[in-house]
Amino acid sequence: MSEIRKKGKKKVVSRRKFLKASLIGLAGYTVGGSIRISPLKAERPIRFGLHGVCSGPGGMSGESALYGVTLWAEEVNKKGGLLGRQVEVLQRDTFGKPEEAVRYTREFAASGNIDFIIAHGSSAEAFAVAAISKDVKRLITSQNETTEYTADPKVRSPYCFRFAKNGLLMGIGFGQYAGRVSKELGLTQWFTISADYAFGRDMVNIFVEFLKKSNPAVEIKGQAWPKLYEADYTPQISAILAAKPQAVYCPLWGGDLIAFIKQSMMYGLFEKTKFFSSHLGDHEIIQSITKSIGKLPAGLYGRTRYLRTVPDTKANHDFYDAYLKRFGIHPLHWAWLNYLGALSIETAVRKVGSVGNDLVIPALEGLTIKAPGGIGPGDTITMRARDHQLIHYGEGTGVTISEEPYLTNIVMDSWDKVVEEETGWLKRKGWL
Amino acid sequence: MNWIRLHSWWIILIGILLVFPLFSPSLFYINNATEILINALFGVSLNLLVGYTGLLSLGHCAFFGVGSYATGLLLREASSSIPAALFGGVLLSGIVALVMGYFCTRLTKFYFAFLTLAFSQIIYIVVVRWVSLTGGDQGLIGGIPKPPIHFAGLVIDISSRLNFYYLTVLLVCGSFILCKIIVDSPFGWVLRSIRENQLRAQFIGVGIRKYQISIFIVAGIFGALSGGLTALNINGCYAEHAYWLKGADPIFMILIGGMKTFAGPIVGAAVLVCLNTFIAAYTRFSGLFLGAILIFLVAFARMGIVDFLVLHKRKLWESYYGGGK
Amino acid sequence: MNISALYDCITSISAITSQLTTSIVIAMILFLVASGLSLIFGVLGIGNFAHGSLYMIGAYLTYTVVSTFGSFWLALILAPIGAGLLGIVVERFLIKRIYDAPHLYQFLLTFGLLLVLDDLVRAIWGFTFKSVPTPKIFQRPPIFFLGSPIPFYYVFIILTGGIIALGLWFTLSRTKVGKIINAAASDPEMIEALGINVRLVYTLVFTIGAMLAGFAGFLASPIRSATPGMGFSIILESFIVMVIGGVGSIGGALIASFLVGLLRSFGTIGFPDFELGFVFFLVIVVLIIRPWGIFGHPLE
Repeated sequence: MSEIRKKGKKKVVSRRKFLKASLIGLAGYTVGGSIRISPLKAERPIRFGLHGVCSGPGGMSGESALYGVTLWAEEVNKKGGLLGRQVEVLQRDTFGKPEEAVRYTREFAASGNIDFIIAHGSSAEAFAVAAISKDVKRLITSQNETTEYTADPKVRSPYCFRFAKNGLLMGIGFGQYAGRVSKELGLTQWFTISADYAFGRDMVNIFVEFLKKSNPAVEIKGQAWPKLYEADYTPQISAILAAKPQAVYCPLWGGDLIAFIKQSMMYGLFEKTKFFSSHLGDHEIIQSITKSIGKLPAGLYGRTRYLRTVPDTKANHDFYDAYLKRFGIHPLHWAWLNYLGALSIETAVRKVGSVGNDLVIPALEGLTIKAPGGIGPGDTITMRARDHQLIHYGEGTGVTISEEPYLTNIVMDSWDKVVEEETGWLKRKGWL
Repeated sequence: MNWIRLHSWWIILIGILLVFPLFSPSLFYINNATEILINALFGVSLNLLVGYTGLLSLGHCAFFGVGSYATGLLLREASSSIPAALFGGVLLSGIVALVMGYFCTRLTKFYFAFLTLAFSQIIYIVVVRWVSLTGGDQGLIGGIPKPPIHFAGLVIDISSRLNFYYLTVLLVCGSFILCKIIVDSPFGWVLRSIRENQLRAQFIGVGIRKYQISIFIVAGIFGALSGGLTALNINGCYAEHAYWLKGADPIFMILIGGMKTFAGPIVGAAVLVCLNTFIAAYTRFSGLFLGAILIFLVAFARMGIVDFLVLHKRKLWESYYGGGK
Repeated sequence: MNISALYDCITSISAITSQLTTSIVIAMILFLVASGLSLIFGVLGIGNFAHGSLYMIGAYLTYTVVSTFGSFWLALILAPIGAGLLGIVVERFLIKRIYDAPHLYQFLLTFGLLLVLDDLVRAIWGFTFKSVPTPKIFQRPPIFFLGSPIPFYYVFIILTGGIIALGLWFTLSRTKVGKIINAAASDPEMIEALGINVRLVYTLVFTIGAMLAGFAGFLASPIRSATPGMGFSIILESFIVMVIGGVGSIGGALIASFLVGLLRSFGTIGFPDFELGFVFFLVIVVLIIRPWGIFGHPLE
């Protein structure tokens, strides 16, 4: 026992000293907390708070979200700012955890000096944030693509706006295209592989529904559900080969897609079966694939995600080139979509002359603006008021070749047709 | 009178907790305090095992997850009241703890720790894969309903952050008091004897496993309560709640605050939450700092904050070791 | 559950071969990490939660060597050496402080190390994953064995894994160094009395374990890329293999790795929802019935 006391010296921590120390500590915490939340005068910069997954296989979504918003912010600041104030962007990494997304949303909302929240995480995070948006009552934009997020009235939040593609809309377009191709090439035996989470399941269900609607002869031989951010798909690839399908549908994205394609190449999967990937189109993704395996396999079917030439307008080229110049990498679709979101918020803010979320939200509903990548009348995009879903963004399907521009024979989705199918689907579900 | 002096710290603390929201400028501090309290309960519940009984459990997240999901599901699917839902979570967790404790206490040290981990991961996998019940990876979509609590004729609306805070204070401090009574009772002293020397305890007639399983259940109960409160606090249940990394949090609290006192994990929880908030605000490399702190504390300091503070306070030290050795 | 798919698979020779190969590949990489872990636990008594990070460092070092020098084969030498060097540093400065510490502190220190290394990797190499290109020599169509395609690279993994397993076994059971290591595991005081520097033996064992993990990272990098969080994902499975196989046993680690590989690979087909659960189930059963594993020594 005596070894514990320092030999000779007897240090006694008196109650008073302890109280003083803890009060100092508490004061430090208060001050420290204030440094972050200090509501300075009204002339403080307008801040956009981003949070979402920023590392690991999903990390590129976070990185490109930041870049997209930053590009917009720098353009605005160069022109004199928004409402005369400079714009700042900050980001927090949630590591893909919904709990962290909720925490940051709360923190941003309670801090008093973040004006707009952008939740760029994956669907798990987005749903968590939507649930809590009704508590914090703040405008939150999202780039998640799972259908229910805006389509299901029970889940939808009046505070959340989806500046991203919609799983249902994507699935309709891709499913119809695949249906046509499957009839042409006689592809009746299909296999699906998708990550086992909301978005992954959603994409498969919708694609299969519209594929079968378009070609009733289609049969799903088997399905694989690896976990999200799974590194090693070799067991699933073996299973696919064993089933000998004629076509494979794969909504894996980001790092997962790259890993899957790389591993599939080792097995020679693409010589044995046709491949339909919903997230292939981004230039950066294709670049990563070619770096890993030398050459992009030709004949794969991919959605365009975001390409410089889709649509082939000057506004689109300008955005693409400006981004490439600023960041040295090609814009991924997340960057483009978040840019659109920031642009829309800017327009709404200017319209109402304030950053107050309660004023901006109604201004955003139904807002139509000219924007790069828009294919609505006059090259516009529209934020649909009914369900806070972005529409009239350019997207289509193409076939890969081994050199630039990688994706060719692009067939654009027709918005009218897609929305028509969407309405029917929603009515059948009882959500409209 | 003596009782008040002995527990002066606690009375001061509870006083501060009850009063400070009146002076708080924003919800920020109330939110933080709520988070700290819930985490502190999680830490204290684990310390019943680690600090008092010498059982290193790496699977404590099992109770957190069970408590969280049971509470959430009861509120959503069974439209139960908040007290009933929390109780349900606690009850289910107690049963899980009984089963886990029965099997795990047959082993010691590393094998004990690893078996608790393995059990907790089975629970995690069930949570993640039983998508129709738990929502799988994305958790329960749509939030947790918070029906008002009817108590003594009053109707208390829990969706107000302030009210939820006071509910948390009530439940957490109540739990602390219960735990303190348990560890200061003869039962608690037997636990300490098991921690010190299992063989000697057996020689004096202690049925070791009975005590270990009992405290395992108690720890499970309070761990589940912290899980249920978390579900209410963040308005959702996520698979992370049952993942083994969640179970590492209370261990950090115990390390930082010290495992030799009751208050250790509470201080540890406060420090951990503040650290996380700060570090995340200034750098993306929170793991680096947290990891470095852990390494420093283990490799060089070897004791937690509260342990250090009470080091020379003989009275409290003896309460741990049981009178002059 | 997909029993029909599993049945289809089992009744087809090519499918079985395909899945078996996958199992063996998973097993080999896992074995390299787990055997090091098992050795370290057996000799040093430390459950090294940061062992998966050494695997991760091996993968990242491979990426750096390949992108700087363009040579995959250079990485074969440098990646394990790099991991080994890191192992020496870690052991000499940190691990040695917790040899006699309670298990809680061992867990905390190695876990803290895991966190630090994970973030260090983010700081040095960035947040998104790093792709390691398949070496040119392996960029060829797969071999066909019993009707199923086997990627050429997999053959390489299986061969190298097997050679290392043999080498390990041989070193530990037949050479003098191996005998010293074995002795250190059972009675360190005795061999110290015989004049052998136990501290050196400990450092040696830790370094060997680190090099094995680094080599596993090197082998896995063309398939799985280098990404933060790799350390987390493999450490749990490695502990499972160690427990099932028996602490300190190389043969046990090999067999247990196969078991895990089989469960994962066939489990994915038959029970895609629960495949990971089987692995945990297995370790729970082992811990209840025979806690010391297949080739371990009964606990006191």
